[in-house]
Amino acid sequence: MKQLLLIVAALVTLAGCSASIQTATQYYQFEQPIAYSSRNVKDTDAQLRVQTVALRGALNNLGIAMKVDRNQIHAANYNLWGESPDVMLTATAQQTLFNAMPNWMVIKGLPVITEVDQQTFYELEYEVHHFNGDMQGNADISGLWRLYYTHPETGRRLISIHNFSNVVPIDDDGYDGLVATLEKTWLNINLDVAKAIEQARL
Amino acid sequence: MTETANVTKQPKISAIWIIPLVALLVGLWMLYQYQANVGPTIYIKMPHAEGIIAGKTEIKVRSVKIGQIDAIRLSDSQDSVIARAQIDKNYDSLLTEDAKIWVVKPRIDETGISGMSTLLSGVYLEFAPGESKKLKERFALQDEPALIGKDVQGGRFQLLSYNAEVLEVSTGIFFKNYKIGQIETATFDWKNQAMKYGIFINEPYQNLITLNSIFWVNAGIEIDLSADGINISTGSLSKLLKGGISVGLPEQQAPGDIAQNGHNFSLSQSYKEALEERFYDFDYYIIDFEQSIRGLRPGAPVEYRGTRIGTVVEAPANIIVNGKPAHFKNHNTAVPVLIKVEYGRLYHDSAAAKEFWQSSLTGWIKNGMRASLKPGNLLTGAVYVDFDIYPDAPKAHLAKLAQYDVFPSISSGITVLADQVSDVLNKVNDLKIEDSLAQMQATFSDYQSLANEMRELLSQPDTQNLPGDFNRNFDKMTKSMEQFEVTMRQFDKTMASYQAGSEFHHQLQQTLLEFKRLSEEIQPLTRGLNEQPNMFIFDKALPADPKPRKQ
Repeated sequence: MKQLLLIVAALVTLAGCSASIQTATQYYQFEQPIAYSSRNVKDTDAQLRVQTVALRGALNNLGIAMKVDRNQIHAANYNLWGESPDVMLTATAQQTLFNAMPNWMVIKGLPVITEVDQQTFYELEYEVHHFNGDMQGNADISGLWRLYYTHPETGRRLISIHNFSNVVPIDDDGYDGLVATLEKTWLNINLDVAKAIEQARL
Repeated sequence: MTETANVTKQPKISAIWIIPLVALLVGLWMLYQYQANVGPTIYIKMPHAEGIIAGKTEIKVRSVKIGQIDAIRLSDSQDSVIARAQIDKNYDSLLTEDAKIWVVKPRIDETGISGMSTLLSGVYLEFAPGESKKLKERFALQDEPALIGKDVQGGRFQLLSYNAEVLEVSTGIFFKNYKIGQIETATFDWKNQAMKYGIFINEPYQNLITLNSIFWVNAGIEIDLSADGINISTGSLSKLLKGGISVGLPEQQAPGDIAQNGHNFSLSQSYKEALEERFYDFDYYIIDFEQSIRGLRPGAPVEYRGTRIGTVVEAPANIIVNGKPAHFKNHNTAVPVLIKVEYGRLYHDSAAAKEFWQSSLTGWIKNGMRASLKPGNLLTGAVYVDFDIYPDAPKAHLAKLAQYDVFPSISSGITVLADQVSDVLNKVNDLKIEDSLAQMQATFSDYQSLANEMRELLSQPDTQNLPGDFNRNFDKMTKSMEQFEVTMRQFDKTMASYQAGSEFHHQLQQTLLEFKRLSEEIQPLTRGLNEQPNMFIFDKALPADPKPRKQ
């Protein structure tokens, strides 16, 4: 009898614990489809290296950032990015620029240095200061980008620097809507960057 | 009914006065006790009060505290400091008038390092009570610690030094390089122009000081340049730093009677001089030389056929005869020289030697014994007095000049000198310089023929081909350099495998990236644990996320 009572108590406790699971964690990523594309060096005029996007502080957090107050950022507990935001943004930027700049060999991430390739190339550096939603229903991507040019004779030098601030109303409620708006905004930013690089090209 | 008044007589003094009376008695008793326990007060005059602190600096005898400095003030003349000290009443008998006080502080000298403990504790005054029965309360601070405590047993002797260097107090006395004592006092006797040293020899080594002991200054390094070669001897480190006095016995001499306390010895400049100056039993003689005595100096030896028998004392001798110097006598052109014949040099029993000398001298002179000057050193021109037998010499006898005996002389010295100079010149003549010049000329002609042969050799075709060999060697060298270059290129490649873009570098970057990803994966977990530490057991109850809403 006593043993039975103990077993029942244990079962009740376990049931209580299992019943307390309330909220499931959601993971998000950019939708951007990977289209078929390929490019050879001989078909391109220049090389652009997209450095890994630098995200400041809590923005480079798996929890999707929401600006809840004037100075307060909340990193979500249950709505997380599927991968590190800087890696995701870098990959998206590379793909967008690759598509938008047909005469360029756009590469990303780790520098792929060979004895020939490292002679002359452009570098794009992103510093993203805002990558979040806010309580007013906006998606906010702001920051700056810098373009560098490396030449064996002149060395590495800065070509141009641009600040950008894109506060875009989200299309739908919830984190789905925020992620979709952030992706669209990032895409537009990179399209603008592609144009600017084409113009700034030496 | 009548009432009667009960009249009682009140005591004149109230009982309440007993309390202040008792208090007064107790106070007086305490005052008496204090006064009875207070020891004597002494005053110490010191040139300055460096390191002395009133209320702290202690006075010690053999490291036992006997008192303490309790006040310091400048003297009225302001040229010194007066320190007042309270001495424990049990030790008032120590305050003798011949007591000595000095400051104990860290000292480093040739005797070692002392007083290091005062580095931390501060200086203190060491009090060395004397032997006097008379007490006093005013003392003067000594500059240096007392050299020898009154309880140290030993013997005290006097050293008189006319020509030795001046030595400091505390300089060691060494017997066979072992320190047996030290100089206790050093005073300069200006009348005699001599240094007087009081030396202290520790017990039991005072027994080493015998009547035939000799004392000499032992410099740290002694260099003796003599006909036997160069002899360099060094002593101990302390001797090297501060010099020292050595005491010993002449070689192969047995110790004499033990010297009594206060015995006077002479201090010589060196062992060699000490040996010369140790003969106290001698007789003076005058020798009249009918020639120049140039080169004859006081201290020069007097020899008999190479055996030293005495020493020249004065050359010329300052002898006044009838109010005139003896060497400017009108009827005599001889120059007198004062010598002493030291009997100890003849035989170790000087008394026997003296008797032998004096009884035989007349017979020797009769047989032709004469004194003459002989060159001792051709370079310096020093001469010495030599006694020898000249059978053909004119007859002579011992004469008298003032209080001295005059020994007959013979002018053979200068002749010998001339002969020796002549010998030297003959040797120079015998050097056969002409032959040497001829040999040199032959050597030059040999060199000339060698040069001609060299010229021929260079003009030969084989020699001319030498540059070809050089070229071949140069080719080899070039090949070696090429191989070296290949090696360096290989090394470059090896190093390149570690540079950016290399496989190794790439793998390193990937690993770091993996590590970064891993840290990002566990980011929510760590954040959740931070907010809810029991999250492993209970379900996470983190705040709900704000919901984005479109405008």
